[in-house]
Amino acid sequence: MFDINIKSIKRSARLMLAGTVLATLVSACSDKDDAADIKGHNWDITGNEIVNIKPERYKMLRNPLTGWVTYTGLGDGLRDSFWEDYDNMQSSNGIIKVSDYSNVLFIRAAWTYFNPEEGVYAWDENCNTKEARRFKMLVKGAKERNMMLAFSFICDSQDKHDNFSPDYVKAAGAKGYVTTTGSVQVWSPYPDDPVFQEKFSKFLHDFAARWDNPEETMFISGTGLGKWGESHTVIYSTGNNDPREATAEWIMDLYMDAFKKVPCFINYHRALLATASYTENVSELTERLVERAVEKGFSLRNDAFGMKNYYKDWERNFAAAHRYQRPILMEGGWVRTSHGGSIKGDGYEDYADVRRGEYYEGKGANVNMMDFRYGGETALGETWSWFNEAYELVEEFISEGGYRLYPDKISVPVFLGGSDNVTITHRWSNLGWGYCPTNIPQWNQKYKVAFALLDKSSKQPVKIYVDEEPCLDTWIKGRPSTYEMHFNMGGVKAGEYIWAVGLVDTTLNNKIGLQISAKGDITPEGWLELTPVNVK
Amino acid sequence: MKYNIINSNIARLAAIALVAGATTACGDEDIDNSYSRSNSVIQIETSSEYVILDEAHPDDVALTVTWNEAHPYGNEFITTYQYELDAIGSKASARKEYEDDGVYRREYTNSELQELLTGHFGCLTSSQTTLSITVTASFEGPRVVIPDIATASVCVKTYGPKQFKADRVFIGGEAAGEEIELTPTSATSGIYMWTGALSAGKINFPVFYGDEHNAISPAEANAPIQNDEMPAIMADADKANYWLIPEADNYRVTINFNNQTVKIVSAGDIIEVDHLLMAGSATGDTEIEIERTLEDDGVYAWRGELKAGKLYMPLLFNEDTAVSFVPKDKNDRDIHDGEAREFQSVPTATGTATAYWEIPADGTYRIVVNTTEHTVTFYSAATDMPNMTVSYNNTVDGINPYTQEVTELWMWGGFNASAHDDGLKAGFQSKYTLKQSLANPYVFVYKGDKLPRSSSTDSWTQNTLVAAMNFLVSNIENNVYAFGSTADAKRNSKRATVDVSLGQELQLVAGQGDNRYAYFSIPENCNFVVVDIKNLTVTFDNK
Repeated sequence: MFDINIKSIKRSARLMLAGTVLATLVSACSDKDDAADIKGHNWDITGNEIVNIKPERYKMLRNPLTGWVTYTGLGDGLRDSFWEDYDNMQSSNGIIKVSDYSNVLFIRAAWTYFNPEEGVYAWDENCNTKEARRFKMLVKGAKERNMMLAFSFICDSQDKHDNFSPDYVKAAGAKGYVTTTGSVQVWSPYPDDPVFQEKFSKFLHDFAARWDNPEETMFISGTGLGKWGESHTVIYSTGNNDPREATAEWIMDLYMDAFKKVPCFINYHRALLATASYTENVSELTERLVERAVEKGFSLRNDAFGMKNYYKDWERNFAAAHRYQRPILMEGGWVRTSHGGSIKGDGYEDYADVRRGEYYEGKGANVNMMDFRYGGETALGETWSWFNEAYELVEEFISEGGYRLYPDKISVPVFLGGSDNVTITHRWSNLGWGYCPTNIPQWNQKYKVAFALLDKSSKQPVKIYVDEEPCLDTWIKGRPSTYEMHFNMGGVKAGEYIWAVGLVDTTLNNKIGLQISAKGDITPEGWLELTPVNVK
Repeated sequence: MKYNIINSNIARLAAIALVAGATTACGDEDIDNSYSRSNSVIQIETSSEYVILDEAHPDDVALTVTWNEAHPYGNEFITTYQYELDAIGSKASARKEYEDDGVYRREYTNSELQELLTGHFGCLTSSQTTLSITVTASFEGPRVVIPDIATASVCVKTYGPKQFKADRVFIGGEAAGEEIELTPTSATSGIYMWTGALSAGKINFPVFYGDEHNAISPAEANAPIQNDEMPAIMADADKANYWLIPEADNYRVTINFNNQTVKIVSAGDIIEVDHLLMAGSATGDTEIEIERTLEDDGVYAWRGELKAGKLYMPLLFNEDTAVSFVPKDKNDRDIHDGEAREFQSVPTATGTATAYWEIPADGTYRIVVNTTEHTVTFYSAATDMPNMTVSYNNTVDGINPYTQEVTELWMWGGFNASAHDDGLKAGFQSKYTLKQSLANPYVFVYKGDKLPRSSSTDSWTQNTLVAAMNFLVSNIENNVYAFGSTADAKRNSKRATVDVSLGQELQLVAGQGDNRYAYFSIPENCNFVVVDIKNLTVTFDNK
């Protein structure tokens, strides 16, 4: 078997249809001559057969950066029965298994829990702290359930009952500050302290050495600084914001330097890395810092979806401005088990209403992923709430959110010789309101459309032809993209094969990288069978 | 049989209008006629416009919906159909599905529609709901095409238990003679009231509700009427039971749809009063008001000095005292000291000359009138209930043991964020005291503004206490005799609360021990608190 990468001739893979009035405006204003242009697609190709494909709209596809994120932690709030609870969760639709709805486990925890001693890490075989045991339990359980992993490392101890930065950092001379949580005093390093920066840099690089692997890690969420690790309410050594910009540059560069393959996310917060928790007016520096984050390669998340006094027009406009430039992850703001009646302030009737509020705010931001947060108590927690108070939205997001890619029509050659020059015309749609973010630097267009001749018996690819032209990030809901791929068969042995199409990862020897959202015969690896072909 | 469709063009016209607006906004561009880009050809057909679901045939098809294919725009376009079913008035989300297989038809059996309506959409049994059906064809292709949206509606009647609802209400049965239509006391009250003559015999209350002819009736046949509210059911009019009117008289009939009750009482038993007064030589021939108690609107109480002599109780209603309460037994003028005895209503002008109570001697009396039970209780000094006396270590005045009569209670805890009146210690506010009842000196009542629900932190455990409250006999300090909750609290160790629901009666723990740190977490919207320090109960409510 060998693969051929071919530059296709894409006559008109431009954006064709707008599904919204705004798009209608653009189209009407700028594209008077569209009807003539579209006739260029060559569907009636001699020797070819057109295969029509129906979309599959409901199955949870285990594709990266789309779908529901299952949150967890490593602290004492994590129940030993986590997997048992999540495999048997009560829902308004009966008992469900959360991993049937979510394809990533997000371990959001204290830096200390990942790294209890200098050079000692939770994933080390001989690291046996209770948090390390939980880490291993979670990672093992995720793999058993075919879930990928995501991580966030919180350095700041404000509001926490433990030191979230390891004690060895303080012992090494890092300067920091003490805060009181209940009757407990906890220590946090100043983010601008050089000792802290040296230690955290080493940790992140060591972590990346083990986990910067897109086959098991879906994303990393930064920065971990500030209150709750959400990159606001940051306390610097100066007591003011003077070190803010330099610290921001340092922490963003650190993540980008450590993680080359796995996408990193940052909170687009109006007080990003500022001493304040919130500012009504967004400063020029904030604007600059979030843009710098995007330029450096960060993708985007926000932790206040549905909180109407925190997620407002600035956040909405920012999300709109970066739509399809970077994927956006949603985290809801309100917490069922602790915020109680305070949701009334936002005009919500109840938690079913909160879930709707979060959902539609997320939909408005075209988010790729939503959150099943963990609240310690399985019953009545956020995940429980989604499954019991908004089950239909859980299913709707799987069906309509994120990205779902499928080819509705493909013209493939069925009468051909093994060294013929042939043409395949193929058209793709995205059923989701999000997008497949192949334009982020960590992915760098690694996913591509490929056609394969499958062995008739084994259904394994005998030859793969990659079309380099389509950029999957341009596939937007309501705008089908059509391509023509001209190539030579490259000397295929005569015989009977099956034409198949797939979305391959070109960095992994053209192995299937993304699952296609189509009905039909799909091989276990993810090749969608199109039609038998007899190569002369 | 097929009915033609109600195919709404509103949505598509709106969409066309939007595009027209958009194209206008583009300025002088010479563009296609926007309407030519829209081909609204989908028509929905339903097997009926009105479906009565049949419980006896659950698997029979009750409703069929079909639609035709959208306009074919050719190979360059992808057409997507979305089918949507919604119940008008339901808060549940619409059922949506895509149709990618070219099956432009949906069928629903009786049981499927019943489950969909009463289960998913939360519709009532035995009620009509309008189902809205929408088919949207969207077209994705090289140019903009307006979606083709078609709608239809079907009225569906569910089966199951009848609703206690009515569009029109009547009095029926031989006791009424001809049917008499009733009107509600207001558009939203859910209460129908009628006063008039009824004959002896059967009575129930026929109603029309949608297409149903029912009757409000008792569960048992020929049920005798009682003075209290009687539970009622809704039944088919031709199968409904009756209550029995024992004798011809003037009656007041009250039908309460909210409580699903019927009350039929003799008009002569009805007490209508704005103010209850005392008069006669015992009051020095002046009228003295007996005040309505805070804890019970049907109970009036007074305590004070009376002279030996005649006493009766005029009812001031509409600025007139035409009716008075006198002893039920006109020949028995004894106050029956300490005993609840029945009274009756008589015309003041003629009935009080011979029927009245005789106060035996000058002195202090407590009088309690219960208009619900139609009783009066006189307490002379010999039978009156004394204030409760409690004993505790008064650390402020340095007196141990210190005894005190309980004549008021102070609310205490973090509920008011430790706000205080000038001159009082933190947490004590006069507006948050409970007043002693005149009817019962062991009952203390708060009835006023909605109580605040601030949170506080337990200094021992650092736990948050939400809306914490208990009751103290004095405002000198929190280290006094208290009435706390049963929460597991311990001095110098932990404070604790018990959660409370509105209207729930809970137990009190009295003393000067750990109970001082045991609180009630008062419910939202609480503006009414009744504490009984003898029976050690408390109720938080909204009134």
